[in-house]
Amino acid sequence: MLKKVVISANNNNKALAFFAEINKKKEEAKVKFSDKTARLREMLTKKTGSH
Amino acid sequence: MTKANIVYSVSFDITLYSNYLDSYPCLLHKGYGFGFFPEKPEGCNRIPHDKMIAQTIMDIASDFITNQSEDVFLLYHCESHDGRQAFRHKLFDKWYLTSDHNDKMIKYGLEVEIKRDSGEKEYHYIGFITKHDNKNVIDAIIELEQFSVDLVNESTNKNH
Repeated sequence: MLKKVVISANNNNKALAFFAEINKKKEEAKVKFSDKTARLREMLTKKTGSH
Repeated sequence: MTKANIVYSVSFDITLYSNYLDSYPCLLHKGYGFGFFPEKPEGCNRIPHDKMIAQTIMDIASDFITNQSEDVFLLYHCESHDGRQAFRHKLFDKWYLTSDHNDKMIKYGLEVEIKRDSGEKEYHYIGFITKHDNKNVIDAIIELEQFSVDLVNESTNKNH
């Protein structure tokens, strides 16, 4: 089931603030992941390189 | 990690939307914020096409909900910080429609249109994925639509 509904609003600050906040939370999550990602990349690169 | 050394992270975050869902019990009860993003190696400016990316992300989503109770929801929002949310929405739809798991999962999405004072229209995409046999899916669809209406209605009072 895939349905698309358009809900329209005029210059809606509440909606814009919601989407901005979720974007921000996701950006913060990316920063938290970045150290782990760097370690994983190093580990996988070494592993791949050893074969 | 892809053949082009791009590392994808996938997250299931039960807190991502919880502050907004007090009035939407189906989505709140077992709603996980589902997200994924690529991290490119230094010097890599674009992500080359790799069909394994879609397959792996959808495999992970399917594995996650298979191991949860039937009332689980993966809530998503296409990131819009760079204005590319419509592209992400189209791509994610394609991934779902071509997935080996789309007989086990339901994906439901909404497009939210916001008109700015300048007259420009801005579009955002939210939705969920759940198990095909989730008995709460109709209630969840109603809740998601109501959530969107409440979101774009400045005067909505949560108590009414």
